[in-house]
Formats: sequence, structure tokens, C-alpha cells
Amino acid sequence: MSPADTALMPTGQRIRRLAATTPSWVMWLIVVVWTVPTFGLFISSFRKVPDINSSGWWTSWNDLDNLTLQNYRDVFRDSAAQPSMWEFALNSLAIVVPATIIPIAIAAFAAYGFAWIEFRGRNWLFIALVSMIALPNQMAFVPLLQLFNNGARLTIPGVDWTFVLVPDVGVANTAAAVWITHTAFGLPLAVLLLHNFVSQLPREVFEAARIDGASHFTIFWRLVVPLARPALAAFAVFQFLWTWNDYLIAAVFLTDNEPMTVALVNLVGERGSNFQLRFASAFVIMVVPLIVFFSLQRHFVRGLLAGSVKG
Amino acid sequence: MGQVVTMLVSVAGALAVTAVLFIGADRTVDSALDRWPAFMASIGGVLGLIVGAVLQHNGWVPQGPAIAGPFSEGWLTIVIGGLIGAALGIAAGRGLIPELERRIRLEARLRPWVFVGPALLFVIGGLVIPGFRTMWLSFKNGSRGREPGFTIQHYEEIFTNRTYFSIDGWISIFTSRLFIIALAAAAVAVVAAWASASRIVGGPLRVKLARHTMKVLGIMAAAIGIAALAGFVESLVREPNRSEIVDVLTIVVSSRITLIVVAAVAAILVVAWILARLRRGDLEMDWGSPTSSMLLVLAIGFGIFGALSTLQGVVWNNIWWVVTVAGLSTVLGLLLAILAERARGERVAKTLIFMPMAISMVGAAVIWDFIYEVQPTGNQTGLFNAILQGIGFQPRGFFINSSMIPWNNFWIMFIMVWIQTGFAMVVLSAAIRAVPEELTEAARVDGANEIQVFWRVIVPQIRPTIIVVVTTLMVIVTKVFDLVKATTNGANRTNVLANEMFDQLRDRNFTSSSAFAVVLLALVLPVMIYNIRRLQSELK
Repeated sequence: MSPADTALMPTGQRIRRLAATTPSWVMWLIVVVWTVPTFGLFISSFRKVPDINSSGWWTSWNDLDNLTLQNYRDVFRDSAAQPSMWEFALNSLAIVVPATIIPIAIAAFAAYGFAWIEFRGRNWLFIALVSMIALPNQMAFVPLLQLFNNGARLTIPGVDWTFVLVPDVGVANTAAAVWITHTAFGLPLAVLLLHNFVSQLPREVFEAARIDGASHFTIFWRLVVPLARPALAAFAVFQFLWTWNDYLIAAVFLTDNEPMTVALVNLVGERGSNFQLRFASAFVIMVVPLIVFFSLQRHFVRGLLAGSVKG
Repeated sequence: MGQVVTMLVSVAGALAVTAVLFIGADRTVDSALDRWPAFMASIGGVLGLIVGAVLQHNGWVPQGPAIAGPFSEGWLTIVIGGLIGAALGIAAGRGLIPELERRIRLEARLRPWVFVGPALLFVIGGLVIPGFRTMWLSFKNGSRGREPGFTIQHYEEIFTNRTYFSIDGWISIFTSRLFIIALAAAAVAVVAAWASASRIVGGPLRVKLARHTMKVLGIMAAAIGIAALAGFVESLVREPNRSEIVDVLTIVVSSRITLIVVAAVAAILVVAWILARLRRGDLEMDWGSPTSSMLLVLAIGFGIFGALSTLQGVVWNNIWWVVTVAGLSTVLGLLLAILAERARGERVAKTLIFMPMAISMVGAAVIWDFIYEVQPTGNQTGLFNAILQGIGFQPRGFFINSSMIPWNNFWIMFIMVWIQTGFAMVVLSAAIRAVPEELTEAARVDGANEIQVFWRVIVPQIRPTIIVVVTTLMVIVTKVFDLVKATTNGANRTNVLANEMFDQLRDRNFTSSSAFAVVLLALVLPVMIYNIRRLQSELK
């Protein structure tokens, strides 16, 4: 259609044509706005400190030779002021690995129990458990901190008996304190996701297995775990990203052996000698979740959808 | 290396414990079915041991002989207690040795708990009991909650201290620029709703009349809109940091007096006319028409946003966060979901928009530093300020300048929008895909244009999903912490509840920290109740 034809079109039609061509460029504009900040950090992490403070990262196109790997070398080097990032990375792993695996195991049992074993109060219990998703984690911090530090005692008023409910087992300030907390906080969502998936499995499979005399344990181990693998993977990606990126829980429960996020916040807080380390550090922290995200995006999306799109 | 070993051992240990407990519980239930007396004996034995220990601990029975090692004085009582308990267990079990029917009942009673028990234990121990204890602590005296007696001083502090909660400035809500825009949008929405209705239901004569009246009303509405917009733009140019209507009005009145009069008259006429027609009952309104409903959403959004930006205090700030981020992310996500439907390179675009979800909020704060950074002299290193400088404006410290208050909050919120839009987009785009093709095609055949198809067919179809997205975002945003911590740490009136709660916790003010947590809970309580209702209806 030539420009002359377009000019002859009635206004309404012209507007509609405009609307039809709008999508691509508006969307790509937003995409650019969404991507530029990350890209800026990426470039900056290769720039020399005086450059970072004196010119914008977008100007480094002019002299690409000035880019250097020195920042990354500094991040991974042990110094008096700042331990190597490897140390923090290991701390992160010590939290993330158990905090991802253990909730999955526990939630898988529960999801099967709620979906395929009939018992009284099942719906009620399930709703109560799942509604904890919205409970702010802050509601548990103070008591859990006290529990990890001193154990728990119960004093019965009147007779003044004091029972030790939970002894002080010395988990305070260790990775265990953090992953135990992550497990409790992550379970409600895990149960919901896995339940949504497990309850959709065909009923006939379970009935046939029951008639053949299989126990619930056998059904769970031989049927549910293999069939629910996509859902298990989805939640694993979810929980991994959440625990790796978590700052709050680590900051509440740890004063040393901190994970990478805490190290980064400490770098951001100080404007002193380690100022330049934070850009490379920030990128180092992002690399693992971004790899997980790009390689397992399918599972991640499935997890999101299972958790939110229903009915 | 030590850490790696510790980690591997702890993972293996935790998994082994989980497996042993689970399989052990499963086998215990099996033994209850097959070896009933042994099962009853062990249950009775354990109970007996506990009773014996309690008796011994309180010195209600004579102390037995002491043996060195783990057996302290009184071990005999405990052992005897266990034996008696076991005997009682067998005796009790004899009366009800399970026949087939009883076996089935037993299986149904015990087996579920093997599966759901671990999760329940974790959630009760890690969330429910701590939750109740937090509530209890928030009413206790002293910073550790050890002193006797109860108090409401922590809540009093939150709702009387002006840094936390204040309604002093409420009158300026009605005079803020945003409120004027909201009013103008609402006025146009009313006219659009009426116009749309008369187009749908009116007969020929009525249509003619309607068109005629519509023109007049359209001009009037345009007058309001232009007046408000002109005043807004002018005041922006002249006094960028004022938001009081007194200031705005002085500027507007001095130059645009005619427009103001026209707008006022038009507004009064429109309102009076609508009220008269509504009372007579012959006014048809079509609130679902795209123009009017979009404008209404805009008006409500601007109104709430204006109100919350005016009110001061950590509590209001938190609510402002929730409304802004949940609203903006959902709207942007919806927009992107539709745009991506028809655009080329959809997958790449979606991945790039979605990517911030994988980045930690701490990392996001560092990333956006390169956008918001300000340098007092020389080249600007922050992208926004470089652009501002490039087009001839003064660079500004988006977080630190006191003249930015309260909009410094908005710039932090935008980082959160950047993170969460991808979530909204992915979920909503899946929902849009699930809308049956026949519905949209039928609407198109009936002559609906794309906007109408979207607004009258797709949006009603995906409404449940929109609600899920909004409520999920609300829950996430209420707890916002990392971003504020890593950008301003609450300085310049950007504090939020979770950050205040954290600082109190760090200072070992456990009781007031708990009170802040309970206020957070109160904010998400409506969403929690709504979720419970939804689950209930889904499970039925």
C-alpha cells in the first residue's frame, strides 16, 4: 500500500493500522530499557577504577583497550581487607544445596499424602499449610533466633516446672540454622506446587497399583517420584534461585560464614578501599543463577504457572 | 576444603536422617498392622519411660542406687516406668487385637501422618509456633521480652511516632497534581461510559440526541482535561518541586484564567447533569467500555498513588510500595504479554524481560546504581543523569537529594517493578494463550476492534489470573527489604517495615521488632484470607 493510499484512508482505519504496527517497537523499546542496566554493570565490571568514577560506562566503546580483568582477579584474591569470593561462594553452597534438596524430599511426601491418601481433616490441613505461603517470614525471625541461640524451654506457670523442649544443639550461626529456616519457609509453596502436579496424575494408575497390592510407600517411590520429576525440577529451580539470592535470612541468622549476598551488601555499604570490588562481585554472584535460569528456564516457568494459574 | 566437606556431610546427614525417619515411620505403621502386641508394648514403654523420668525429676519417688556413666541416680525409676508402661501397653492392646476391619481402620488412621507429618512438623515448628510467639513477644515489656507483664507500648510507638505513621498531611492529598489528574480522568471516564452506553442501546432519535449532547460534553471534558494538563505542565516547568495546589493554582490562575473558568463550569454542569439523569433513572452507563474503564483504572491508580505519596511514615511507605509495584508490574506485564503475542522474536524478548527474576535484589541494587548514580562535578556516570544533563537539565541525586522526597521512593520501587514485571508477563501470557480462540474470533466477526476484543473478551476471561498475579505481588512487595537495605538503608524517608524490623532485631530490641513483624502480618492478612477462601472453593 503506497503512502498516498494511506493518506486517503479514513482516520479510524489509519489509527487501527498504527495500532497493528505498534506491538513490535513498543515491546523492543521496553526490552532495551530492561536489558541496559544489566549490560551496564557487565561493562563496568571490566573497567578500571578511575574510569568508573570519571565517565559513564557507555563511553568505554571509544577505548575498548582500557578494559581489564583486574577487578575479577581482585575479587578472587585473598586480602587482609576482603577475603576471596570463593570463600563466600562455598558458604553460599553450604546453605543452598541442603536448602534445595531437603524441602523437595519432605514436600514430595506431603504432596502425595494430601493428594492421594484419604484422611479426616485433609482439606482443612492442606489449606492451613498452604496459606502459610503468604505469612511474612519476619513473623518467625525472633523466636527462631532465640531457639537457635538458647534452645527452647517451657515453664508451666503456677507449679514453676521448667522443661527443656529443645536443647541448645549449637546450630546458632551455622549454615544449618539458615537452611533449616529456608526449609520451613519454602515448604508451603513446595507442597502447593507438587500437590497441584501430583493430584493431576491419572487416578487409574494409583487404583491399579493398589489393587495389585502395592503399599503407599511403594506407590510413592515407584510411581509418584518418577512421574512428578518435572514438578520436582520446577521447584528445585525455584528454591535454588530463592536461596542463592536471599540476603535477609542469612543476615538475620549469621554473623560469620556469610554467603555471597551478605558479602556484597557489606561491599556496597562501605565507600572505602574495596569500592571497585562490588561491580565484579555483583556480576560473579549473578552468574550462577543466570546460568541456571537460562538453561532451566522451561522448568522455572512451569513452576511459576503451577503455582499461580489454576482453574 | 573444610567447608566443602562439612557441607557434603551435612547434606548427606540431613538426607539420611530424613530417609531413616520416613522409612522408619512407614515400617512402624507396618508393624502396628502385623505385630500389634509389640507395637503396643513399645508405645507403652516409651510413655512409661517419660512418666518415670518426670516422677524421678521431681523427686516424687525414692532415689535408686547410682551407676557411673550415663546412668545417673534414679535410673531405676525410669526403667521400671518403662517396663510398667510396656506391660500396660500389651494389656491394653489385647482387648483390641486388630481383625481385618480394624486393620484397615488403623491403616487409614496412621499412614497419612507418615507422609504429611514431616512437612507439618517443619511448618508448625518453623512458622506457626514462632508466629504465635512473635505475637506474644510484641506485647511484652523490655527489649528481650523477659520481664513480666504485658504492654501495648510497641504498637503505640509505631502508630504515634511520626517517622512510622502520620496522617498530618492528609489535606494536601486533595490539592496534589496527581489528584487533579485523577479527577480529570474520572470525569472523562464518566462521559465515555455514558457515550458508549447511548451508542449501544439508543434508538435512532436517541442516537442523534446523544451524539449532539456528546459533542457538547466532549468539549467540556476536553476543557477540564486541557486546563488540568496545562496547569500541570506549567507548574512543572516553573516550580518542579512544588506539589501544593496553592502553588499550582497561583501559576495556573495568573495565566490561564479563562480555561479554569471553562473547566469549572463544565465540571459543575457535567456533574449536575449526571446526577439529574441518574435520579430520573434513564441514564445508561457502560462502565465496561474500553475508554471509560481504562480511564477509571487510571483515575483510581493516580488517586491512590497521590494519596500515598503525600502521607508520611514507614507504614504508609510500605503500603505505597505494595500499590505501586503490584499495580505497575501487572499493567506492564499485561501490556507486554499482549504485545509479545504478535511480535517477532517473542521468545528472546520474553527471556530478556524475565531475566531480572533470576538476579538477587542486592545485585539489582548494584546494577541500578549505574542508572541513578550522581556525580557532584564532572561527567555524570549514571545513565539517567547523563541523559538529563544532555538535554539541559540539572543532574539530581535520585536517592539522596532531599528535594526528591518522596519520589526517591518511586525510583527504588521501579527497580522492584523491573524485577517483577517478567513474572506478571509470563503468567498472564500463559493465561491469554488459554483463552479459547472461538471467543475472540466471534467477537471480531461481530465487528469488535482489537481494543474491544482485549477489554471485553480477554480481560474478563483472564480475570482470575490477574487477581492471582496481583495478590502474589502484594505478598512479595509487602516484605520488601533487600532493595531498600542496599540502596538507601531507609534514609531520606525511604524506610519500609521490614527494614525497620531488621534494624530493631540487630539492636536486640526483640519485642519492638516483633511488633513490626505483626504489623507486616496485618498488611498481608487480607490476602491470606482471600487465598484461603479461594483454596476452599477450589478443593470443593
